[in-house]
Amino acid sequence: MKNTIDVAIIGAGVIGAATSYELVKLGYSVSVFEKGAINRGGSGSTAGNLHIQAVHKKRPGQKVALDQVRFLPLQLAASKLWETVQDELETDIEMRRIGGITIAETDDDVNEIRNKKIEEEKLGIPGEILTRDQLREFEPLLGPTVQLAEFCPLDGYVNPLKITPAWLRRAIQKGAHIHPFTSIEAVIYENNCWRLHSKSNSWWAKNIIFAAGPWSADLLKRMGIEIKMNPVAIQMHLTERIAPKMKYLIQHIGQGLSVKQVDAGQILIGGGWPAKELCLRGYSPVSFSSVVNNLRLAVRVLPFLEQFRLLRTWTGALGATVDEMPVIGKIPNFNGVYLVGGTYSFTFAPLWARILTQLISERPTELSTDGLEPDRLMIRKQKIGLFR
Amino acid sequence: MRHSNVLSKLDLLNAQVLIVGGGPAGLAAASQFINTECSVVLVDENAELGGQYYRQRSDYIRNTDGEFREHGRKLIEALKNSSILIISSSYVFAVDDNDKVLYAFNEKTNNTMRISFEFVIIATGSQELVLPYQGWEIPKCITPGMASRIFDIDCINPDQSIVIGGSGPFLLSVAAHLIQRGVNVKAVIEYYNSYKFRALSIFLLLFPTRLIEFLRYRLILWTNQVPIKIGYQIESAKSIESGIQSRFRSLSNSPELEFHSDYLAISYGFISSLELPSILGVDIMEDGRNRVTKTFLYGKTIKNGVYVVGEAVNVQGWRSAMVRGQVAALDILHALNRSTYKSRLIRLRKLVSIGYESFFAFIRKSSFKEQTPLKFKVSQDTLVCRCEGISYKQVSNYLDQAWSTVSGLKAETRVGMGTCQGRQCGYALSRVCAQFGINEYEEFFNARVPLRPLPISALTQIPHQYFQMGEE
Amino acid sequence: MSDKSYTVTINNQIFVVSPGQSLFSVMLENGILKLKKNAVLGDMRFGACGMGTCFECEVFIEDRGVRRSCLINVDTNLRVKVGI
Repeated sequence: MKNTIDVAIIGAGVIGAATSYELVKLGYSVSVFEKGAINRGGSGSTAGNLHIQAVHKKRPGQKVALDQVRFLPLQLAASKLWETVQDELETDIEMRRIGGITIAETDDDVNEIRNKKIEEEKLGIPGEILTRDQLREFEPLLGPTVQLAEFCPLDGYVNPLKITPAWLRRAIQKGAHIHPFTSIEAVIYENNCWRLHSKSNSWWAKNIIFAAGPWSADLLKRMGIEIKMNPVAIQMHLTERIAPKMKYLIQHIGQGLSVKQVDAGQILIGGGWPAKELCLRGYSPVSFSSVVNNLRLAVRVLPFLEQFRLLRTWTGALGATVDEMPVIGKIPNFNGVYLVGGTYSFTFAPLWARILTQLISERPTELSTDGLEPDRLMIRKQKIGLFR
Repeated sequence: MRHSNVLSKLDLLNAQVLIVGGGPAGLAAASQFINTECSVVLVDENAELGGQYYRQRSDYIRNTDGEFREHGRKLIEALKNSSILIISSSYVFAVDDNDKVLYAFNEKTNNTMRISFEFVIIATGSQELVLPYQGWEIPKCITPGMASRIFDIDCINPDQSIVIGGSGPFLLSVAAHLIQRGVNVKAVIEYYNSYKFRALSIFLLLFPTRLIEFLRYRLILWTNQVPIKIGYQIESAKSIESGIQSRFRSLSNSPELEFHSDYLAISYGFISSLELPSILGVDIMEDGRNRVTKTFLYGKTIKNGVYVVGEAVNVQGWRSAMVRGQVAALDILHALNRSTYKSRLIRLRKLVSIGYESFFAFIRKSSFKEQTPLKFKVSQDTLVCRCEGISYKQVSNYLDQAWSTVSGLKAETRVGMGTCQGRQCGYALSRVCAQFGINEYEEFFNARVPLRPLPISALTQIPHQYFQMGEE
Repeated sequence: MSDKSYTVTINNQIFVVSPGQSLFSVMLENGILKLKKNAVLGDMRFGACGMGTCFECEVFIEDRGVRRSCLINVDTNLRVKVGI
């Protein structure tokens, strides 16, 4: 086929962007297809946190807890990769590895922290338990209900509004093509190759990577691939600019809370609180309950926040899976079709990008992705689909 | 600093009809409910009712300088003497998850208000549109609306000079008022040639009051020798010892104009304030340069019980705003089974008035047609975003992207992320994108909760029972 | 007309103000033009729109908080801090 792309990537969020870059570095021809504007999905709306110490297992309303321990080696690998990203991209992506404090309020919280510390130590993830007394000096902004906390120097964040465009720009420089406002409506297998159709155009590709968050499932379904997903929209809250006060990223082990002060001086408050509803065809509206709940929790943990003003809230749609674990790998029985996604994709982006590149180039992956393959999420197995 | 678990300051209000906005449309709507035994609450952001058009002079000034737009005063007095609950200095900031409750914050008492309603009439009006120019952030670079406010309403010492520029019929009206106050209006500088009569202009004869008003303004300027310059756009403003030095560039190849004055007032007409309809899920549509609410008969919208009236629907002037307010109120009275044969007749007659007003707006628009969209042309160091201090140079660095949209540009430059949340710069950013033709998906900034920067304490003082989902 | 008046203290300067007078005009008439310090550039802003949309006329009012001065009429004694 003339002009057959080596890899077509569906979705120009952080995973699509990182992957396009890794592939193009190895000489693959890459095209990224994005139905709307780039970086407007989950990874464009997120807090931008890099989670290295073990995470809170259940967002508010989440039914199934994620496997915190299975996450750890992935987080450690991602952490190492993030170290070189800013230099490699030669752009200021506001990378801040400032360290993160995960707090405990209840006794259950305290146990969880101590348990996760043990698991982290096994893998060499650095961390320090801080008692109430120690916290008073370490982070005096924390309120009186905080019993204990763990500090991990590797936690941090990156500006999500900068990293995705930066990766895409570098990919373009190296020969990748980006097609924004191009919704792929159908994918058909023809002559040992995939043909992607938008409303007005079509492209040939040897491989397709679905990195479109909650939007991947619909197109996959049209190809005859049914995936069990649990998409959800969550929200973020932002204050106005204030003088620099917070030194670390603050999170809660037992409840939905993540707070940090960004470069611009604004305080970003999140925690996975659900939007009013998920709207995949438009904008998911903000839930007032979630605003109040998230902020009340934030004020309880960081009382100084109460004197400031909330400036804005927004939502982002996440492609969470039914078992709340990431998904990455080849779709069985479909030549060259890959799926990647799930929550915490932001932290994992550079790792997923490299693993996908390794899968496509048929090299061993740098880390085991056992248990994370798409297979487990598939509803029924299909032979190669020949229909729209 | 209060501990958040202490006494809540939440006022609970139940209204059959909630009216948001105390300008002509809101006042006209509220007036229909006087003596009807409906429970009505009117929430207004300003310290006193009147909005912009019927902004009130203080008692002291009224005693020395008299009334300004007496009709407004009469409306306000009537409302204050009625059983309608008027809450000033308060703004609506969020809608509850069940859509039938709005939350408002009282800036005077620091109380949060939870207002449940059966019907809501949104009369949030419009704001002046300003495009950035070099130096627009300097003190005393203001809008014509603000000039009218300080000279006509606050009645500050008129022994000052001002240059008024931009586009739109408002400039002429403000200039005339200021001249009558004794202000030294040095010139009125217009972008478009609004005074070229076309075939359709003959229909203006059907609106004699307005035609006379227009001619009266022209006469006032002429007798006071205030020049009207056509075909110029503000280029820069500079702070000099005697005030502000303003420069206007010619849109043809004439030499530029320069003025020295105490104040510089620039605006290009009005754009509807759509934040509240937007978060209530009302459809918004483009109407040339303005975005407007999609309304049906009587001001109804796609959302049950939500009416939008006045300039939030369409910028057509105060007369149209009042009629729309009246008609919505009359329709609600009808829905509440409080209407009479007479009120239904009035409702019908008002519909005709709306038609009349819309026709006038159409004629005016067509006869003074703005042929080309406003050109956005500024120097590299002009601030595009005043709040975040972002210059045009910084914005233009990102204009070459194949994927740029207004939102994308905002994400990468921070334009629109400051305190005013894009109210001053959003339109300008859209124009920049459109001019660069870099994408066909021109978007305007989307309104989000909270509708104004909101003290976090306003949220933490809401008692637990009012937000459904508990913490884990 | 009543002889009632209020005191408005602005950064420790005391002004006597008639009831209902707009706070913004009190400052304007007394040459107090540096109302709000811009958080990024540090220059002093004054207010441009007169109607509450630009947020550049914000001042700190004791017992209330940061408020847009163009939306406030003096109807009680006020202690105001500007230029912060």
